[in-house]
Amino acid sequence: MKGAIRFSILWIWILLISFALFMLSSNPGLKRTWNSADKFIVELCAPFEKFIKKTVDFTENFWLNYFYLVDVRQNNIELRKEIDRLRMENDQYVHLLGTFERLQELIKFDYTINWPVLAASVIGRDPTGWFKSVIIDKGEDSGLKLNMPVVNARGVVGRIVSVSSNYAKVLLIIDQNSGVDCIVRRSREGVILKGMSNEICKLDYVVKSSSIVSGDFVVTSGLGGVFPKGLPVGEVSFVKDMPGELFKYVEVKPVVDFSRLEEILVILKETELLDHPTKKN
Amino acid sequence: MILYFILWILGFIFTLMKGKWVNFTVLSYFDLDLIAIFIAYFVLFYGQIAVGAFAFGQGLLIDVMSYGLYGCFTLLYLGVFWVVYLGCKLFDIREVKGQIIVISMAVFLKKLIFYFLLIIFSIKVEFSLSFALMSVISAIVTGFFAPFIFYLLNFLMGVNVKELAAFSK
Repeated sequence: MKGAIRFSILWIWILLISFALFMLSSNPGLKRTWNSADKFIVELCAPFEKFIKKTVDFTENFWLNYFYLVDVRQNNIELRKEIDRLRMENDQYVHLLGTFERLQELIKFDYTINWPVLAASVIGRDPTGWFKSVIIDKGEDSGLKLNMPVVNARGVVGRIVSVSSNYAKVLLIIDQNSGVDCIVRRSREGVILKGMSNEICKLDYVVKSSSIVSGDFVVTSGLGGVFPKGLPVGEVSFVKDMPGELFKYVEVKPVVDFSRLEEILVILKETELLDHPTKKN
Repeated sequence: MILYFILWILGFIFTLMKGKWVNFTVLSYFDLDLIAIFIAYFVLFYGQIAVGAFAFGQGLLIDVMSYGLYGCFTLLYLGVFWVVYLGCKLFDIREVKGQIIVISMAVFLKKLIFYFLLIIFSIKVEFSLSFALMSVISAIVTGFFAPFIFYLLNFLMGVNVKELAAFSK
């Protein structure tokens, strides 16, 4: 009897490990998207994530706006209550003003793009710390599709890599798996922008004869098939010509502040990429 | 059994919230691995399959939410379980010393396997000294954090681990 139980436990383990290995083996060059099971999990978990984010934000606000004032309130309770109320009200207005300004910037930016756009909010970030992606609160039901470009008021944010009915995953340009075809605005040289999983990106294949210098502005070339031409990407922050290397080492500071990514715009432009499926069969 | 479900939910909440603070900071490679601690805590009370299912489920959620290798974290957390399980044969994880050693070892090996998986699957990643350093620091900090979590969980659940272990023997 004990032998039979051990035998069945062994089979369950084989099944679990095989399933994990099967998932691992389904990574042909990372060009994968959410399958039906993934979509189900995301649809199930994302509302919790959204709820948690809102709760944390509320608690943060509550803590900062209320508990910090408890000691002072002891001196003059009535006055403190009034100040608290006004402060919370003021914070709400400041928050609303900030949101309004950000949305106004987004609207201005919207006018510069010749494609329809859809605003979305970031509800979650990649939990590994190693890869750089975010989950947004819009999905297929809002017209989102794979590889649609994502921007904010300042410039390029990334592209959609997975999409479910109500949510989508955006691969940020700072991820090491991301590559964006760009040009240097001043010299019109073509370059590839690669992420380095921190706040700095680098330019690949910059030839020694290139005239790129610090301060040059990098914009999308429109050749990659994902991003429309001329979207701001970043500013060259460091150039080094290393002896013995084929290419120059160039670092770019993205124009987007990825640590404060809240509202984004999805450009509703279907991709021309051939190696990325636009529709999951 | 209620502990099992509570830790499942806590694990999920931890994973969903983790992205909020783990990303875009100087310490982005730093990883206080609560899931590994929960797995070790489960080993004290539950059978292989229950703990394996927990490790599998938590890893799968990370895989779905992240843009990493699909199945990578599922496999890594199954690996963490096995390291803890085998570590228990060598060290007593009811003791603080055993908890620190076994969990530090499990988290460090998880980081090491993660490194090799990325190499095997040819992801173009750039490894830096800070990644190596943060992996070691993450393992040690998680190890030293484990006794507090064990104590807290024991306290919340009204469990005396030593008595329970003696009883189970």
